[in-house]
Amino acid sequence: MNPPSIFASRWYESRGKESDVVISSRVRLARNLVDFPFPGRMSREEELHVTQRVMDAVARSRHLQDLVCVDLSSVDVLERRSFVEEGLISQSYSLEAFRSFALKADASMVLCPNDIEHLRVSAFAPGLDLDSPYQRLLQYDQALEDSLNYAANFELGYICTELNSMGTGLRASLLLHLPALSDSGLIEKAMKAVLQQGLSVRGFYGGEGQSSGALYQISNALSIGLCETDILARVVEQAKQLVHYERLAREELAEKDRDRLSDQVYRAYAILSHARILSIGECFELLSRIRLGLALGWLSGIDLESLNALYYRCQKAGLQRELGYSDDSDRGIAFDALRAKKLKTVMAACRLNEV
Amino acid sequence: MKCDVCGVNDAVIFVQQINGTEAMDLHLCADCARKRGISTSGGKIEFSVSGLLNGLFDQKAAKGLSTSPCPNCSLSLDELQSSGRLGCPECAVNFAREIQIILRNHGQLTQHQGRYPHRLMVGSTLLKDRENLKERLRQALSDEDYESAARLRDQIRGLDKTESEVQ
Repeated sequence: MNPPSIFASRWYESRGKESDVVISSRVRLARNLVDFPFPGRMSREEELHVTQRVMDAVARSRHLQDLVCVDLSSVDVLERRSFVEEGLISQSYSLEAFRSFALKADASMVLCPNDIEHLRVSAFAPGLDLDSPYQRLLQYDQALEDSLNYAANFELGYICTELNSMGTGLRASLLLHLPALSDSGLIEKAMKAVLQQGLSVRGFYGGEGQSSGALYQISNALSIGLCETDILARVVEQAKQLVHYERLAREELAEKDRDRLSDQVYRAYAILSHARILSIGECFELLSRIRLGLALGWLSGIDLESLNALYYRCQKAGLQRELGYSDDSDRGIAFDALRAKKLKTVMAACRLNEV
Repeated sequence: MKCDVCGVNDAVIFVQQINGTEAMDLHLCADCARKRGISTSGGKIEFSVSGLLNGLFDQKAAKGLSTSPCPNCSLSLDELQSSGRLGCPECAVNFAREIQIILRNHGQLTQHQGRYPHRLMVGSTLLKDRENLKERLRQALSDEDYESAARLRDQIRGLDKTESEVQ
């Protein structure tokens, strides 16, 4: 079967909760089989063997029939790269053509063998929602353990390659847009508070690592000692606080620093509407301001979902495919021109409201 | 002041890590901080708690631990420390104590809570889990934390269901 097309609708195109601040939610489970060394220490044959067992388990379970298996050897480099850009597989994983993974058509579930762990199953949802991805994972996990013998013991729970996944094997991550906290310099303080709650934080960089666009990812640092629902609750609780403080900071900035802030928003609008060359870094930075402008009601006509989709689709391979470029040669400035063209089209629907 | 991790370079970054109720101060040199994922360059912060664990382990707990590599995959304790990764499922047995120490340094309970694969869900496990949950439910109710209490009640019901399936 063919892998789902880039044109197929994706989970991130629908609306989520608290979406003015929380872009997306992801829950991932790490599982390992008892009879094999862990990825990184296994032979090519062992790796293929594990993949085979996982894919057999998928094929056998009637609960997993919505998954499509993608054999990386059967897709071109461009397609592989767009899987990476959509966050479905890691860059290093995509480099080996003999690998395969499985995903749902809207990319909301991904099952990836032999990437650090024998098996990583991820579920995504738009906005702040860890519960529904976890429920979906739970169903998958219960279906898979009928045919896979997972490594586990009483003290450590699920045995994982990475010590920080040991226990539940669960990693809950949220992608947050925090422009006002960043702008007002409160972000460092806010992130330290998150860190003290036993979570990790990382800046989220655009495709070429140039710009953060005020995007931050928070996730649980360790997976042991708390049960699954408590881990999820802890991450959600932190996120809700960040949402609260980000909204306060937005209101305060909009009131006290209105001229400067609205200038930034409208300049971003002007550049995205009329630029002819747009690097990914500049694009992410400007999208961040557009997002803020929409949340404050200074701009309208575009919904946050289509803006979120742009984060994925204005990267290199996404553009290349959408615009029908098949060859893989680096066209340098041509990509920046294509990106500008796409943004111009999207921004055409955008309206300016009087501040 | 010297760096707490390498003990060689001068410490330039001060990090306070809160482990449960206990605060632990760490002084890091620029190199060790970078290696552990803490960077303050360009006005952006990047933290990785897990990156800190290895360093803590080096200094405070490396005495008197197992020095023999894993008999199954030959992973050494050094490799485990520096990568934070096991080599195979058997490592969890060979390095059981070391893993506990690394995880405990983070102030987290090191007894797994939560789900097990179905085949491990034997009666004794279920019994222990239920007692544990009931205790936490009592605590939550006395703290008037009704949100947690409702969640715990659902978990206990879930366990009852699992047990009836096992038997």
